[in-house]
Amino acid sequence: MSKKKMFSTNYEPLTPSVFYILLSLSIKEKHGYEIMKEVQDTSKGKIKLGPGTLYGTIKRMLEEKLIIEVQKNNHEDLERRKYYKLTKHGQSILSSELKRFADALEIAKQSTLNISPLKLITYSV
Amino acid sequence: MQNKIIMPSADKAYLWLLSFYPEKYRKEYGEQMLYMFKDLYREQIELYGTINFMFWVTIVKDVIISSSAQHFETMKQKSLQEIALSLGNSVLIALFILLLLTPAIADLLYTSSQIFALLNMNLALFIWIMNNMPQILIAGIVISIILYLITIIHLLVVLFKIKQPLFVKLHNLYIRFKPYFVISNILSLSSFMMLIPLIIPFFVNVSGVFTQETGILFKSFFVIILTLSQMVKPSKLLQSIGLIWFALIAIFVGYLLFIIYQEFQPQYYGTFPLDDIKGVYKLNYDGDYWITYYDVKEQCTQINSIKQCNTSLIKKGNTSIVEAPGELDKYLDKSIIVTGEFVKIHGPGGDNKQFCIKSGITSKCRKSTGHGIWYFSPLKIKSIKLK
Repeated sequence: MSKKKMFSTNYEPLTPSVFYILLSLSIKEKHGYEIMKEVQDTSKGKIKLGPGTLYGTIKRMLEEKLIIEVQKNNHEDLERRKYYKLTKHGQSILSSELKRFADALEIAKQSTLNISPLKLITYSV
Repeated sequence: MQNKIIMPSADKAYLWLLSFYPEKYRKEYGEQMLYMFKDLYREQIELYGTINFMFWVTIVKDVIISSSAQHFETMKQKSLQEIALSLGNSVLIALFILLLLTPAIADLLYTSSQIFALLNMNLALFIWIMNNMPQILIAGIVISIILYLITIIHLLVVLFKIKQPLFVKLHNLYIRFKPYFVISNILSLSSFMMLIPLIIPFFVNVSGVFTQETGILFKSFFVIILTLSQMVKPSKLLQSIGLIWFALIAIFVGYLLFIIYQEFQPQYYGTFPLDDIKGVYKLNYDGDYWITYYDVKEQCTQINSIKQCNTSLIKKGNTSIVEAPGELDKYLDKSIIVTGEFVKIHGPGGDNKQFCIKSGITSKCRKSTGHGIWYFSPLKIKSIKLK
């Protein structure tokens, strides 16, 4: 059964939650709660993921092989928590997204420079 | 991580909320979601010293949104065959629920059969206590079954004018105590609804395709029938419907008995990596029973118009017998001829992946071993004979 891939092309913008999860896992592997906290901090509270929303996104990201599960034996932690880390594919998707942002920012900067103060005033009116 | 804060009630509440997710998703991520919930709960306690109402609102909102998304995702992934199977099982489930709806029909035919309200209250109580006090649960179920049977007998006596002395006695018992069954039908309705969570897991185990959406439909069906039963007055027409009702139940009970009979027949389930099942088998034992399959190869040579042939056995593969009675021991390490039914199904492959074999409405599951794609068969061995 062919299923439409959601993050398959480098040029397709990622959803905010996927982007922030990838970003949080780019530093080190984390479990659900750590990911949620990191996403909340990085997005300055704009993205709040509950357990259901987070694991729904994680499921899709696992299917797309953007992340993988990692076994971690923490003897202090009696719970069988699953940790997740970025795959190479995930890293490249994140890099592409960051590059897309950088390119967009560059274009925006250039456009702003080309617009004269008079034009800006006209636009704002 | 420190997870020392004990919050059993909150955990239980969240576990209950997790039941709204599709079963497969819940098995995969439920445990992790519970850990995350515990962390959020602990964070809330550490920050505010208490759990406020908005915490639960956020959690419930998250469950509603994400569980709906997951159900939608599951439905999209279902093949036509699965949907057809789901519908087929739904018919069976509908019949089972019709059986449970007999109380409503009793109300429909002969109003004030409050005995069912008591029965339902019992069942509701059992659901509540079933985790802690199994003795009371068993006693309660026995009482409920007795009450249920008495009422069925009462209906049979009224409908079919049965004169059998024991039936008449029980009918009189019902009539005599009827005024004391004063518990309202509202309680009956609500406790019936409480029955649903008890019924759903049974069907999930049996068929594996019963969904919560279907459960909601049945709940609505319950409410409609029970409400109607309170509004309609007894009539000849309704009594005719009652007769049809009992006929349906009789068919259903017969079908159930047939399934139970089939279930108790010896069945052997195995895995077969081969298409061709004709040949010579050898039964081995290595924790499980194994049948080693050999291809019979005939090699002939012709020297001066004289043909000489030798047969040799070439090992082609193994198949395991999941369920094997002790009598198979006598065939160990001997060549055998197996006759039976073999159905080839595409298996999951890989180590420790669970596969399930469906037979009728039941399914049996076990972990697969070995890599690659396996073809496994619900294998009903009719006979095993020595070669």
